[in-house]
Amino acid sequence: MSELRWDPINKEWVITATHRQERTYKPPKDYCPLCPTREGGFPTEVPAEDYDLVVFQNRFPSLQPIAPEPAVPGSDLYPVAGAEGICEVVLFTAKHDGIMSKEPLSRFIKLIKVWKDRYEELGAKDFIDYVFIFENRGEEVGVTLQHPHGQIYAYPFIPPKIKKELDSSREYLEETGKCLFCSVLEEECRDGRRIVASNDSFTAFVPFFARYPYEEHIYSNEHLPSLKVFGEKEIEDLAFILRTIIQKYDNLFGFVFPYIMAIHQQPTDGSGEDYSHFHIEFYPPYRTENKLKYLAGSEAGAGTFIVDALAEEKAAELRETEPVTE
Amino acid sequence: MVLVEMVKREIMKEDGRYLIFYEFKEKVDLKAKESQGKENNSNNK
Ligand SMILES: [Zn+2]
Ligand SMILES: [Zn+2]
Ligand SMILES: [Zn+2]
Repeated sequence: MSELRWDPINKEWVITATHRQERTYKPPKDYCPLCPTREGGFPTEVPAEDYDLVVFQNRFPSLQPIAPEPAVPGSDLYPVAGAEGICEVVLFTAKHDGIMSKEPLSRFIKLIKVWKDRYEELGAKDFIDYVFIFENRGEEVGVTLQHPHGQIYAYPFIPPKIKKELDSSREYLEETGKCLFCSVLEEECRDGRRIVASNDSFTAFVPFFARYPYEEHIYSNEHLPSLKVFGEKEIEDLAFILRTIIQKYDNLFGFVFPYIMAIHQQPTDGSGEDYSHFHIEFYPPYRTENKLKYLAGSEAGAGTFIVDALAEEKAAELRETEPVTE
Repeated sequence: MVLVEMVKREIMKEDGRYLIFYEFKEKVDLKAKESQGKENNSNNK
């Protein structure tokens, strides 16, 4: 059972996906569905004894290429629609206990090539308007399978958080002739206090307006709308800065640092080339070594984040944290 | 530069879902080679 229900108050779709209740919840290590299928072992999602990187369609998808009919009738006020789209799982490594911050650069390069391929292939489908690549890392953000993996949701619409960003950038472009993200990066570089790492093609920083103490964004230095236009140089530079940022996170308090990682780039409905700007956003739930940030009244009920940390200080902390090199 | 060539192998699972194996072959690092031999080859450009 899944469908799109329109919320006319917030003007956004909500996906109902009741079949997801049956999802595998924290299976014992020997029954990880994301591990290779060992000889004589139980059949996992991957019918091979080993693999490098793998992508497959989610067994419990919120969106499906051929969507079931909505279970409830819609109305003028409450439109409903089929939950059309594609949900994929991306396996980063065959190693169940693998930790990405300890993986070689080549694994990151491969992962970015897979992301680029999925962005292009899913984005080429006419019912897909937005290819959203993300990773939930750690039990603290609700991960039920420990095996290193990420996900891709290919939506039939531009999701609201991303649409809001793009609308701002389009309006800014109309007013100033410039991409908003290019201007944000310029401002961050001019100030410099919130920059955590940079290379020829990318800059990582704690944004001026960070909502989480250790929030970080990675922007392409040039105006690159999406992975589609990345060449070998950009792929390698992104691999390097991505690994550096994750290594710093894992070295910050000496444990694998949980986060939600979201990749924002150009929609695949043909819009936004001059105002979409490739970037990655990290939202880590920890505010100190042993305290989590919860979304409470002001955040959940009013939409205004309260952060008990200065972006400038957190950026300095992250800048001074050595990347794990083991 | 670590250059890798990507090969995709797609299979269909019993329930109709697809699964893609991504395999990578490391390629010779042409750019590093080129820059190493740059001084000798500068006449050719
Ligand atoms: Zn596993
Ligand atoms: Zn830009
Ligand atoms: Zn963004």
